[in-house]
Amino acid sequence: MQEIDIVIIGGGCSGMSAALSAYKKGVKNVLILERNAYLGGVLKQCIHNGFGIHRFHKDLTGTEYAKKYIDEIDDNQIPYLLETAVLDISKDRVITAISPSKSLIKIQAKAIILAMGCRERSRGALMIPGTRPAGIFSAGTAQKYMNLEGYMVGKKIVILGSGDIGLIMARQFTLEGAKVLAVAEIMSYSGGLRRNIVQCLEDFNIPLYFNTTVTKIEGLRRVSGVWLASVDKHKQPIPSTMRLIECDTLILSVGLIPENELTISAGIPISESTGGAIVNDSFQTNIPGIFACGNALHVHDLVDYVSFESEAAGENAVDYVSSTSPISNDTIRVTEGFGIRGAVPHKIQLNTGKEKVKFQFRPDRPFGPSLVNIYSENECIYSTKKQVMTPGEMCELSVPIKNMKEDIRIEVVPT
Amino acid sequence: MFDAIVIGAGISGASIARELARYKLKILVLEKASDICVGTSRGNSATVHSGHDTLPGSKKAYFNVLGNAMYEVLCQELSVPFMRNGTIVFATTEKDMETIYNLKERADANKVPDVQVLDRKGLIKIEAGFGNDVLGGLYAPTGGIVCPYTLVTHTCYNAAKNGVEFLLNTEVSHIKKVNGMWLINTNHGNFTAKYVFNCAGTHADIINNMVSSKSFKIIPRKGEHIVLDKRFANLVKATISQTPTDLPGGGHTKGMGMMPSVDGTLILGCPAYEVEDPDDSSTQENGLNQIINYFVQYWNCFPISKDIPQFPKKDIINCFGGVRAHLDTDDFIIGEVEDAPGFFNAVGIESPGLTAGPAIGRYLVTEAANKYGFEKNFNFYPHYICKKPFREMNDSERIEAIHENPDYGKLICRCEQVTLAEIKAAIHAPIGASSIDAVKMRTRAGMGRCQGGFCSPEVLRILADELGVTPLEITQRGEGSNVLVGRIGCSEKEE
Amino acid sequence: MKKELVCINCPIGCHLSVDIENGMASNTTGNLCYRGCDYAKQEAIRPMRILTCLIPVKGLDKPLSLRTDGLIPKDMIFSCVAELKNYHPSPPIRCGDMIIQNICNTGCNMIATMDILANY
Repeated sequence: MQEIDIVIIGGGCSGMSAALSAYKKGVKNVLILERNAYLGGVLKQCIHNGFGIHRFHKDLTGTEYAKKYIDEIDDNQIPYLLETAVLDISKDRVITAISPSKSLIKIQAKAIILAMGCRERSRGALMIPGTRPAGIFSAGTAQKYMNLEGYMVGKKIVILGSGDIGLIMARQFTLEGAKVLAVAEIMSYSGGLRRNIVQCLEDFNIPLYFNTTVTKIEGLRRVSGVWLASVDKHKQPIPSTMRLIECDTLILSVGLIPENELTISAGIPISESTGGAIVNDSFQTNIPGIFACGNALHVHDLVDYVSFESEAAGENAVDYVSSTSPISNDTIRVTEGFGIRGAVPHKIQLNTGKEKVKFQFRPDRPFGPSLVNIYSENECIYSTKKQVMTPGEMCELSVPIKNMKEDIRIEVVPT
Repeated sequence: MFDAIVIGAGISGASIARELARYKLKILVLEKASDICVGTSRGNSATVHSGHDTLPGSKKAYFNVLGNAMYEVLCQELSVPFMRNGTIVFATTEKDMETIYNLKERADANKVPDVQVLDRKGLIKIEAGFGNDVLGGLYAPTGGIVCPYTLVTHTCYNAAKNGVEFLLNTEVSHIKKVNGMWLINTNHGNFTAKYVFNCAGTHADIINNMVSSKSFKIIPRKGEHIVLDKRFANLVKATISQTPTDLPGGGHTKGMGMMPSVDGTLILGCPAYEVEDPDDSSTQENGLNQIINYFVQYWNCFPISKDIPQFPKKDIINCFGGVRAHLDTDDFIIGEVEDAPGFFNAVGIESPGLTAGPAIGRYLVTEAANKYGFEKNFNFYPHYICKKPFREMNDSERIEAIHENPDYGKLICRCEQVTLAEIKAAIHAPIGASSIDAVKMRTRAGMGRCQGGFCSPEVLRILADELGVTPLEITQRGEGSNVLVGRIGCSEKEE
Repeated sequence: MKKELVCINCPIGCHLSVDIENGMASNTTGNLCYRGCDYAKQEAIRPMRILTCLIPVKGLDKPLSLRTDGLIPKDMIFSCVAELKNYHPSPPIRCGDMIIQNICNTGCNMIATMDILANY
């Protein structure tokens, strides 16, 4: 059985960032396992710009951002296997994978970095009633058809969900000559960036309907129309508001879910809140030596932060295999109070010599001016002012560890 | 010129076609949809009923019990996943316990083996975790689960390998007797046969009424199912339902149930209500809500609640609808039509149709063979042998498979672990897949958590390559359902 | 006259108001930082955008992704997209290669944002 020091599962932005940082910190025996025939993951289908502003101080397209990492991987000759799908990870860090050229391989890893990314929520999971015609796509799948294969998926399009992927595709469809008839958003606010609302919808006079959802799909062989309806405060459709929009395509941009079948198969517990592995402040899961980062850990908005996070995870993996990780017997848990969703990390190691811990979270609704407080033993040990917070943009806090004694709670206090 | 024509390629038509192949006959199956197994046989709860709830003396009861007993051998012959996981019907009131005793009486009258009435303790011995409201129930160990579309497709493949011809996209418009033969007009030409078998599902009334003055009307009945993620696979064993209860929001049903599937998903369902359109298997909001409302209310009764305390709405991965053919006599019509000799009906095949199908096939064809003196075909080969799905293989089986065929090393559907080899095999099968849904039905590619989000572009590309057409020609489910509408960068004029 | 718009530079999304007279912008109000002021003046007079899009590649299904290497006026986006039809790049193409020089006289070039090195 092959023995590798650090195996990175996933060769997208997260996996490449982790591999590079591990390599640069001194562990050369690393290996990236990627199931596609190319590195870069979802970045390869992101032809729009807005990537790299924080990481490279440049405004790049997703493809340009990916190329920077891919070139650096190749320049450093960092090992990777393409068309290699991981089937299983055991508790003892044995990885089983297959590829057409190498058949079934088993690798004993000293450390594993889970960087599998995420998937999109589907029509089936939303249970939108109606028929099952051609012409229903999740935004990412439509993006793949367009940008990697060169095909148009429809001509008259309705988009459900105002997350960034849906907004970006609204613009791209329009530039390619399709008509985007409407974007429906079930919440009263958009999950996407303000920039994208302006540059993808307002620029093209594409109507955005808040508090609106799709209640039925029509069409036998191909979508012939969708019914839109306004929703009440319980997000239930109001029947009198139902109207039929004739279209040939429904695009779903209704949420991303971290991809964690492998995490579960290793017996690693998943956080209900993030959908990804439960990790401590080193991004380590409950299995020593198995780390998680990127969208597989929690869904990010900006790829730059995926890179920062994954670079840290890579360095922590190096510390682990070199046995230079800080050892701590005290671990406290992080709980989510009012207004907080998806807080990462879920646990913090005390007395490791580390001064600060970086928290990431999302507000569970839009907030105006408010405080984000951290409580330990009912004492407020940290407080910061936020002018505005929205669920569509992940927030960060850098918090000193020294006052954390017991389990802590993060909470929003509107002011 | 055929000896026998079968109309419809669902469980009834497939079973009859295969049974006919045991005789020296020239056989043709006509299917109006773009693929086999697209009607009722596709959208159901995949249950092999024990037969305890069918009316004694009815054809439903007779063929249910007979069919149930055939499943081990049949599924082994045809390489179909099947499990006898047992059926439990529970009651939460004394009145419902009376229903349980009635079911036991029916089970005995129908000669269903080993059925017991159990109190709460007895039920818990079989599966721990029944809620406090559960007073007792019926346990029918012969109940089972099967993959319905694998059964139908493999039955068809076996029939095809034994010489049966299949024509898809072929709809019967007219049948009449001409010179002692049946003349069948379709949109793809005319065909003649000595014997016709009407297995046309929700359209079987139209077909029957073309030849017989004893006409009837099928009442299409629709019901939805909800599919839960595989992560609960280890937590459930038996198929469990409640005695028929007043559903929140109205409607009647055999009883809302939780059906583990052979694939590891959990199927919840199903309501039953009449619809106008015999082909309308779309899901409806009220149907889906009925299921959800029921399970939100009664979740704690089910044993799974000991591990999963609340109905896991976040773990719903899909839902589907299915229409079945109901007759107001509430029973099957099986047999030769009195005023149309040589024309056989297998009609009204709603639940327990999947269970009964193989038995109906055997019975009907045997009747026909005896009456009309069919000659036995000693070359009939009953087996459909195929490689185990990759996801079920162990490491050494996988190594061997990849060694023989490197396409087994290329994973296409990550959620269901379907490889390129299996997708190609589905496309080149005796009745091959030529659309995305057809590949999905045969391989499970696209049935997992991401519902084809990742793999469908790859499946589309593979279909185009294997069929030698451009990606623009690939359909979701047959003609008129092309997935892609054009190339980027083309003007209206160019396209 | 006054023009109202929402700033896109950060999540706060200040509601900005700009005076426009004789094609000149002045007196921006509502901004919390200088970036809002700069943004408002340009956006109110002549909004500028980066254009990213696709162009078919000769002999391949896979398209080439392109971008403008600078900001172009929003009102020229569709002209530039239409202009793409006159170009038929073929491999090998490297990320950064100029595909169209000074597209539609915007002063910006369309450059490739990916490599397409082979004919297959």
